[in-house]
Amino acid sequence: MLNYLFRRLNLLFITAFILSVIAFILTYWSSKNTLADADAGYIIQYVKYMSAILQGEWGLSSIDQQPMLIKGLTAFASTLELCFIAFITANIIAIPLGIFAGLNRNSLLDYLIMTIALIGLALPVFWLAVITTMLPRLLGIPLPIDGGISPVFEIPVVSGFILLDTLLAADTYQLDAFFNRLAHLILPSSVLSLFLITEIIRLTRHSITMVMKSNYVKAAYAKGLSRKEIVFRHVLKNALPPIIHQLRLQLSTIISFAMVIEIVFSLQGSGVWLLSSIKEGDYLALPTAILIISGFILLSSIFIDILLMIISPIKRKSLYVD
Amino acid sequence: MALLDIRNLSIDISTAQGKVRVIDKASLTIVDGSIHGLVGESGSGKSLIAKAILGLHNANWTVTADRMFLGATDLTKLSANDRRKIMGKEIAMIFQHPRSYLDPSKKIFSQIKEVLPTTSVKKLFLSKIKRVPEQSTQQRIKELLHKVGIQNDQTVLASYPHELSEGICQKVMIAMAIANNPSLIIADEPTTAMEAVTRAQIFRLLYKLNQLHSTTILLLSNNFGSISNLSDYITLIYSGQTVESGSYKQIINSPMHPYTEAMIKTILEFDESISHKSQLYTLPGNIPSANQLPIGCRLGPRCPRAQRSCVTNPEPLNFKGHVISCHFPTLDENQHANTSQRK
Amino acid sequence: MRFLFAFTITLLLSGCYKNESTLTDSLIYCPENTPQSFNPQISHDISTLDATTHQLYNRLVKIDPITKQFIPDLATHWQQNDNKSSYTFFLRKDVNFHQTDYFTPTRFFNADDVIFSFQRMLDKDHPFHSVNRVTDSYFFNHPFTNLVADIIKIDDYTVKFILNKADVTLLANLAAHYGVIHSEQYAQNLLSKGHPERIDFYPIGTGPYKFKNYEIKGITRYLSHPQYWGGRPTITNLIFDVTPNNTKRYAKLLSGECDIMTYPAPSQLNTMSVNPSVVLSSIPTANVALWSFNSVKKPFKQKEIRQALSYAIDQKTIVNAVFFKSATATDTLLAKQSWAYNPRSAELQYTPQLALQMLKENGFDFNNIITILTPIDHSVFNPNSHKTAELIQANLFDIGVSSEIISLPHSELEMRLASGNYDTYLTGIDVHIKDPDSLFRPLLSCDATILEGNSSQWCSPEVQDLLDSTLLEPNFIKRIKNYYQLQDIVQQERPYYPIAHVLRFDAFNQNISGLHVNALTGIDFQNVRKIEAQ
Repeated sequence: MLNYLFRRLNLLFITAFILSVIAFILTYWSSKNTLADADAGYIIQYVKYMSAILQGEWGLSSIDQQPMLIKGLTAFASTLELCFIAFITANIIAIPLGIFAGLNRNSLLDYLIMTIALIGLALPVFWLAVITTMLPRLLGIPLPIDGGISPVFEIPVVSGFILLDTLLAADTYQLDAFFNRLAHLILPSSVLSLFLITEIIRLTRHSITMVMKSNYVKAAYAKGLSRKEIVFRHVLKNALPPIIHQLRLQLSTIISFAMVIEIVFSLQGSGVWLLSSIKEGDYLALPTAILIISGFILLSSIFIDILLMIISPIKRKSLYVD
Repeated sequence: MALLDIRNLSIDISTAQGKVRVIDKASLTIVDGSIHGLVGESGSGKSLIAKAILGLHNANWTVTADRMFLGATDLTKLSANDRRKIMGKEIAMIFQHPRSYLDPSKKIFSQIKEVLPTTSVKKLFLSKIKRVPEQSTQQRIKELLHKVGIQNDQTVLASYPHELSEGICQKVMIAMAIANNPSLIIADEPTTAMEAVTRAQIFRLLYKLNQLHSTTILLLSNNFGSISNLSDYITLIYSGQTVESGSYKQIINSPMHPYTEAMIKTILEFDESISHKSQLYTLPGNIPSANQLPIGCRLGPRCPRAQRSCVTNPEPLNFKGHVISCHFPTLDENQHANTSQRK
Repeated sequence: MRFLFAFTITLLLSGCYKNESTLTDSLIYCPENTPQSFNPQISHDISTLDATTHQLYNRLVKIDPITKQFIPDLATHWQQNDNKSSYTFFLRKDVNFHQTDYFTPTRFFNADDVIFSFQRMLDKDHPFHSVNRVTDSYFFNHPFTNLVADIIKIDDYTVKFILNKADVTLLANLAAHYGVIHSEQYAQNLLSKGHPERIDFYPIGTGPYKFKNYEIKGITRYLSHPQYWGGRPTITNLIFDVTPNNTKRYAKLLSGECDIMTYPAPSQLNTMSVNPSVVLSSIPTANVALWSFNSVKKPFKQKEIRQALSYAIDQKTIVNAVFFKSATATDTLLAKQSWAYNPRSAELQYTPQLALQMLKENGFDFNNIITILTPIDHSVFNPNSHKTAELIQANLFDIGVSSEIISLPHSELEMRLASGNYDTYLTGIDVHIKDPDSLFRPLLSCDATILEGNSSQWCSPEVQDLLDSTLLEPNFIKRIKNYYQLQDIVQQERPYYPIAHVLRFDAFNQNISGLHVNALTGIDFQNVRKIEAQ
């Protein structure tokens, strides 16, 4: 198991190195005159750049002279918040549906569920996001469609996760700000969760079908267990690892969809931050975003791997990373 | 008394090419307390018969039989629920590649615990009165493992299936199978994937179970030689049809069906009569594939005695318990055809 | 099962969400653009005016919205001398400036503040004269360099304006958007700290709202000024939430995230007017959308060509298709409300046959492709320049004239204009001063550059003479006559084709009362009150 971890970390370092080189090239290209010792060789500049990065000095934004690292992390935290809420909602809806579809293959229920999943796959995210801004008006539901939180609330940025910050500012606004933020997140997260629901339904259905065909389920039938017992005791736990594994590969897609949705709904996350930075000419945002977002994806990959190792004993034996 | 009495079992599977009769009027009679070997090559339909007995067949199979009795219970008339109850209690099954038949995400302990008969409230109540302590689950599992010959039970119980060898896994499966004291154990090629030492161990275990607890064992195998020492009765099956059935002595000493003769001839005995690099004996040809099953006796195309009348299904002939389905059996002088069939 | 449970929880949570429109002490206004600064003296775009004029500042005098007379604001009364060459203003006492976390005033408003506010514009040597001035804007200088010679402090509460010559327009100028009064103490404070540029971005005034903060994403927050001399306003928190997309603005109005918004999309005006929960109010402005001909480039040097093309344009269709009901078709550059409007001006006609004939008579080269230059973004005088250009192109095509539309973003547009490389240009003019001179001068004066407004590159001594003499003309009747004459010349020469006079639309929730909008000086939230929702 340690062997596996070690190999995984190895992969992380190599990927991180390549990313840091890309970030270095972008920084160099975007701000030629702010790098010290422009005469020195590229390697020395790279080393200096890396040491600055590791010390936490990522440069200042050209718009408002704030440190780039803080801006980037704050923006990304907001994106993560959206992804998290969408993920939870999507799981609550999609996993039961996927299980039903997988257990009753080729039945009417299965076709119905797969139709829903296919529709979600076919709709483009940005189109759906724009339609959703108009939807509350049509249906008469008073949900907010713009902004991360109402401008009436001034929440000091502590962690970047606005839900947490609203709870921390509870003495000023009580819980109004928290609910307001939640309400602002409902529409964007439902758009993002539609895509996630599609993915999770398909994965769950496939995984459940595969597990139901496996030998130990047949043995369980032979032991005389009822279908319900088999599903709850044997199938669910074994169906989970492939789902998690596949979702890990989708992580970057989820984040990029989240950024598009943020732009449509004017949520102050990394999508809006990057777009406005490029418009204003603050190109230092690009390498910052690369480092933060890719770094996050790498780290979460590792965490997911560790999680997989914990819940699935088979994976503990595997030597090679896939 | 026959524990399992199956007469004229037929299984039709609907495929894209239409209905295929994979098992054609097979008959099987298992005597209580015996070890019965069901021998046939791969693809001859042994596992299908086992599944049909257990009721694990798919929805697109059609299972018909004149009789399918387990003791006094008619298996065809049971509802799904009742069938399930029987499966756990009366019939148990062990499989080939035992490691894949164990749940990979659970430790052995919890898997065995799952099949143990649950202590009912009444028993608990009674035990309090009788002052006889009920055995704890730990105890019972430990006993089970000892019964099947696993000495280091603590290690095994704390392991996952993928950490154990096939032999140990098979013993664990057997332990789970006997946990409820079933009357019949169906062993579907239990040792095909193992090396010789483990194979011997497993067979010894099965034999012990049969002797000590009078558990009837239906042993499916594709290797005539390996089960021939073990079985009391043997049934041979070819391509979905039972060709010969009888006690061990009867089959070995006087085989009547050409297929049986061929099987016996394939048992390798390493004596000087086999010369270096000589050709081993086989029947010419291959097993027919499922969509090209011959009409009538399915050995027909390959049988050395085949003649025109072999396109009809042969009637089973019974010579004092030695049943044979062939138009041209090898008959001894003092045997006369007795076509009486037991009802 | 579990899903239903969680879903119900979420529904319950969203019930706790209180719509912003129900908060009675906060008002959210959604404008279209961010203000360029917080000083209407240096920025003249409507966003700055909306954000500042009535909110942050007061002026010496203001115009009563109903009677249209000049009424006292920071000056309690005034008098003119006999030959009308100087005005004396008596200032209001006990007026407090804003107290914020970046400035605390230690004295009341007095004459020093008045002098500072105006000398900044007049005196080229004033330390604040060149602070935050990006270009030498015409508007910055026009009203006062010609008009006011000097401002003298008589005592702490009396100020005297000495004019260059007798002129009646001083009051109008002081009531305009650039007549706002700043705090001289604050200016000195900033100067001593070495940050004079903050005066226009961290403003201090005497108005009903004080500046709280401004977030880069376009949110400006104001707090009510508790010691406002006109009485503390009802709304405590005033928030400007910039939303550039006009459909989204309307959606936010409906969902309660905006209480008031401006410039709805013209295509939605119909739906908005029938919606019972939204009140739509419109005021006519002097802003005009126009199509200018480059009069120094062939073939537009000939006035007959310009006239001919004017006959070829179907104005009504353009106004209906692009502006819907948000503008009125117009025949003149000057708005009908202006006192200088010539009622006998000829109507524009749509006669393509006549146009074709005139073009042929004057030797127009039909192989010539005419360029129509338009900006990409919409503006206050044209919600869809590109569509207008397409309609014009179609009209021209009907008479056999081929044209090419070039639409450019702002920076490239300026470069192209400066180079003079265009035949026609779709534009408009955004007027905030009542005087007709402020409309004609940037369009027709020889001194006005292309970027300042003279996209026709018009220069004629006759027109220039008229402009200059009328500006200084003391006799009001003569002024009117001069402007009539000017308008006649404009009609004959046709350097510009006027398309429409736009209306300013504001939409707000039905629970808002007391909102005032002035076409010249912007929106006024001073008296706004939110009625409790039923």
